[in-house]
Amino acid sequence: MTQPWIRKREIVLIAVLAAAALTAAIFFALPKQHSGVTVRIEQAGKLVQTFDPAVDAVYHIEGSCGGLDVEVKNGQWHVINEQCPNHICAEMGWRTAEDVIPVTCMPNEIVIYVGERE
Amino acid sequence: MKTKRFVYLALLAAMAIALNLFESAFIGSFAYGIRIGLANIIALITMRFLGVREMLAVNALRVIIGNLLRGLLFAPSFFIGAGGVILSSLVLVILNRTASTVVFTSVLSSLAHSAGQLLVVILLYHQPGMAVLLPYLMLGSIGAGILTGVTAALALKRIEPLRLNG
Ligand SMILES: [Zn+2]
Repeated sequence: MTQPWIRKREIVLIAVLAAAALTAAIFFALPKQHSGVTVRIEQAGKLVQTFDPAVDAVYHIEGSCGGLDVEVKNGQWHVINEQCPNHICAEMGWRTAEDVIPVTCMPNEIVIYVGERE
Repeated sequence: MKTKRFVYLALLAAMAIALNLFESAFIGSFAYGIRIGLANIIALITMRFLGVREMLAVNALRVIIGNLLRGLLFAPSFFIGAGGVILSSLVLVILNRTASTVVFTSVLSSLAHSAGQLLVVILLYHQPGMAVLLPYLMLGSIGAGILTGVTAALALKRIEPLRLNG
């Protein structure tokens, strides 16, 4: 095989794709507006993530049972892709800043609750 | 040398499954579920060393036996994995017809792998919003693709003397 590992124009194409992805990633990561509410996520008693429910996003949380994702959309959040045997966390459905009961995934030792309010 | 070919195929399939299990057990996934995809190294080697049909066989065996060994056959993870492997195999088939290099082929198939997995996740969980993960998955895939591509290129250079005559 006399073929090179990679060619110049292939590097250019990959660089263009990477630049496009980076631009999109930065765009999505830009803070949009603030709700004054901070939601906290604890795993095994430790704070692992906070988020503003006004910012649409998906957070991956590692847990004792494989973890889960928290999807935030239109000021609400819910659990998806949960790696737990009972799926109670996902069945709790969409939560808002008004909800008092935290979303809990016992197998993963993850608790998602409303923290500070401004 | 049909037997030799079959033995190589079986060895490569076993390596793909072993790498898959090894990665799940010892490396796992990074943020947003990004994985290196070590088994893709074997897919690339199989395609360049044996051929496209053999690569498809190794990839199919990897998904089916890999999930069977973890007791997850037909679980969501099986379909997510299958979505990734099907799309990345398709890209491998297409790029094999061009003069693309190993590393470039690896990067594009890695991108297709992530896109396929994300597509299944979106369809399975009815979560079109998950598409916002695409840029992060793309960046991870490009990095992972370069890594697996360089590894495959190194391995291919070393196993060249083993190549079957005809
Ligand atoms: Zn749960």
